[in-house]
Amino acid sequence: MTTGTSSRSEGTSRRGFLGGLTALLAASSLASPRSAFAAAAARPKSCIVLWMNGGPSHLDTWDPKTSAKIAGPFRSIATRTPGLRISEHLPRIASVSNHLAVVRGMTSREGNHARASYLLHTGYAPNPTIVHPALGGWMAKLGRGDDAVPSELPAFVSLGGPSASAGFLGVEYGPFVVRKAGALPENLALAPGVDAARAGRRTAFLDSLEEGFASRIASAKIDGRRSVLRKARALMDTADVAAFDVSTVPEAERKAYGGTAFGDGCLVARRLVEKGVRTVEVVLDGWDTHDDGFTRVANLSKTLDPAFSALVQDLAARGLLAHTLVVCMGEFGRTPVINARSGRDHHPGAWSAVLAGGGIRGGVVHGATDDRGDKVVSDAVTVPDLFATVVHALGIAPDRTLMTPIGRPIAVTDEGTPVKALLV
Amino acid sequence: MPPTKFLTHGSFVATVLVASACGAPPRPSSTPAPRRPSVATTGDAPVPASDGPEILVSAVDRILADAWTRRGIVPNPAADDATFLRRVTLDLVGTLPTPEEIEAFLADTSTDKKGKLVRGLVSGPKFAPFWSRYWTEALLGHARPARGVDREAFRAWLEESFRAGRGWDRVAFDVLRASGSNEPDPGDVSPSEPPNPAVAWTLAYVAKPADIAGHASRDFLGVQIQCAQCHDHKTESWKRTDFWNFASAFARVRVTSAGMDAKGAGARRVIVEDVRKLPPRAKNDPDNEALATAKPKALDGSLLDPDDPRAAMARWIVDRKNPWFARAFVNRMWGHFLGRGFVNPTDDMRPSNPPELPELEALLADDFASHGFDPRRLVSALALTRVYGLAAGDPEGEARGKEVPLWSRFRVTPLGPSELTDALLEASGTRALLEDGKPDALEALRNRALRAYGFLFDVDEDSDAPDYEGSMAGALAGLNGQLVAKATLLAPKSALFALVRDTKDDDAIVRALFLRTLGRPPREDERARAHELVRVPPGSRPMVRAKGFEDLLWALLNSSEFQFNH
Repeated sequence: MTTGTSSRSEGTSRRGFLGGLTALLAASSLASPRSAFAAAAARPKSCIVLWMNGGPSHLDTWDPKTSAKIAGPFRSIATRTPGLRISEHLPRIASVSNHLAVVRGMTSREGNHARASYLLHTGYAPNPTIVHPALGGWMAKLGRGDDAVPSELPAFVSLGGPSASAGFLGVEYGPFVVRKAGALPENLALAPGVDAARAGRRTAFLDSLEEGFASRIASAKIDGRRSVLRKARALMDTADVAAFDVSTVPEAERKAYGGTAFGDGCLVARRLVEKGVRTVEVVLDGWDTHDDGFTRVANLSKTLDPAFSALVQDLAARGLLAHTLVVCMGEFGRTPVINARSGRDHHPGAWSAVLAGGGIRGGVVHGATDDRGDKVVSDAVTVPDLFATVVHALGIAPDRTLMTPIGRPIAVTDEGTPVKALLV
Repeated sequence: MPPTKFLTHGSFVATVLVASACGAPPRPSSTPAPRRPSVATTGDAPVPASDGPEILVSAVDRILADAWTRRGIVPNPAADDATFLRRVTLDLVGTLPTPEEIEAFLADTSTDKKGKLVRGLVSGPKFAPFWSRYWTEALLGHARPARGVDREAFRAWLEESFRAGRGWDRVAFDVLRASGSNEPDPGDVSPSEPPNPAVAWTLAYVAKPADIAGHASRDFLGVQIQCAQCHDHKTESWKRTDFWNFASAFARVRVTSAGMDAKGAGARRVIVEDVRKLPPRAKNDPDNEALATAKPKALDGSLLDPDDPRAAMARWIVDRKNPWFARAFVNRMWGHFLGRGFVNPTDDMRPSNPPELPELEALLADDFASHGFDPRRLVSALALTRVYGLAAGDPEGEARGKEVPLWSRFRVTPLGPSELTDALLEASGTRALLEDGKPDALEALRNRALRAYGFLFDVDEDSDAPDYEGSMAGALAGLNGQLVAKATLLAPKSALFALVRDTKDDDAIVRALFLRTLGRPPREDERARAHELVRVPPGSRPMVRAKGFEDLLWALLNSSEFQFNH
């Protein structure tokens, strides 16, 4: 490595060097399978959360039923997984079901959006005495050990939604929220009329103000903000930020993901994960279908279908699927009873989540609901157990604890146990 | 996301009259050797003749000093005057102090300068508008605009109530049982019944009685009962039937359309009235069965007048004997000023979430209830307590990141999105500039800035304030975004322009910018560095000189000292 290069280019060249070396080793007949595997295994795992905001009807997506009164107008189709049938509006997903674990026995007690969203983002029910970190916060805090893929990109990114904060871990582990998936984040460029020299002078003065204030009022909150400011400045300077922008991606590739904002978001998620971002949340909103449910779910499915399937296929083709755990879920499911407005209402008692990659067993259906989709009748999975499964696969012990400011130990999961049947 | 901003009262400890606290023995003279100079105690001062807030201040100071001593806690020293002025101005009226106010306060040598300051803020013109905005946000939240909800009319009504000094029990009662029309009738030249803006709260949640009930309980009683909507509360003793009995008191409300309002296509004019039978609901509404079998009952199980359950419920809620009403308000205010209530969160009172220092909480609640639930008395007192005047932070760095025991160090809180945006506009003089020319441009700029901080989804619930704690998107907006860029630009008619044009002395400009933003004069080292930043070769064009000051203002507005309340 030459001296005097910025850390970014050094990282890039080091990455390129390692990647090239691995490829060379893999190609060479002299390479031992173990060393190639070790190089690959050294790469820390990432998580992509496809957040179906509003609570998707499980009966009209992953867990279709035949009983006339509750089935709704959708038919079901076969998948590559024996015995697994899903909504006719998810055909491309059906064709990649060999990568998917469909968990039909999800169950929780939170039927209120705010509470359920908190539960599904943090793995804990809301508790008055603590703000639990989102999964991405834990990953950002705990997952930094291996620097095989260094980047100035934030460790935790949310596209199209606020996700959840890092709670007691502090703001510096919270999500970098990008409102519009597929576009460069706002406010990365210097304001008009400010060139690099001027930016340097004003920033130096700001830094001196910050130092003085922090030394007079030592506070973790102020440290957190300064850390956020540092990361923001690093993000401004890194070329890796182009990963957020799909305008340079070939049209065909974008179309494969569906060409929607959510599709673009999934494409961006893949690009971010390639650069080493640890957690990316991509949001598809609109699933709270109390009214006109079937039209809306059909449309949402048309968005979800190409995006989710393209993402899985793309990750697999690039050799990233083993290192990337994809979770597709919402706050809860929806009632078997169809209401007077052709919609379904909140139903936390039984619903579905889908996992893929990152050490999850593909081609699997886990758990089942009764013939109305009302109750779980076998292999119920609580949200803490789902979290335990996910973090275990990502290389974090589910009972790993950290101390909160008042000295209380909080574990990554709420006493969850990984579901062995879902793990490779 | 749980509401993080407002603390909640959790405990069901019945309100205990703490008259005995006033007769507490004097503090022991042998306290552990403090590392910082001790402050003369107010407990040694003679008891004032009047029943003013000073009595409350003394009691709070005494109880806390005792508690600190008992636990071996050494509180921070008092904050300096400039820090206190900025802090209390933000907390009482939501704005930054002006340079003139700062200079005057710093120069004031009278012993009661803080008392005068607080009295001035509470009786001044900004008090009522600020608290009307605060309570509009707390009561109406960020709800998607519901049918007929006129936020501005509601806020104006609250402002008038605060200006008139109405007790909180009167205001709450009016909100809880409001009926009438939400807008004036455009066809009615001399209306016999004027509109009642207070109905906005009912209208916001009337679609589901469960929601009104949940909000009534949370916002006025500090009790989170909405978990019991679906199932018996997991940790507390609320049962599902308790919830529905409570909710049914709000269910006999009918909203009828009354034609278009004076504005035309905007908020529709509706009439809110109580009816004897449950209004018809959609056939498949899952709440039907629960409501049909419920009997209106208060949270303590007492039956309410079936002829007018909503008014009966409102009376029960604001009654002096209600164990939660006063405490909910007190806890919320304590949390507002001190950063953390007696109970956390402040709208979650229950036996399994007991308050810290219950005797202090009870003292304040009893005083509040026995003085007509006067918010001005309470906040005046809180602002003058010793604990509120402590310095922030932990200079010796021992307990960085750990929770502060018994409020012994002042909290450091980032300004929320609205507060920060308003502070930016004010400190830079942009507000005046835009208000003068194009008020819509101001609103547009504000909204753009707020988008960097928050996200609102389209779901069937209102959402709490976005959880803003200092995001990266917010940081980038500050560093490179439009609002700060405009605020720091030396455009003609901007405050900065006037300052630079009219003041030849660089030092005076630097001082003015520090006062406008940080609320204090620059320190020696800051003065020197600021002068270096703005120094230009002699004979430079005015624009070059201007850029240096723009840079200075930019740095001040992006600094943590500006963006935090400390």
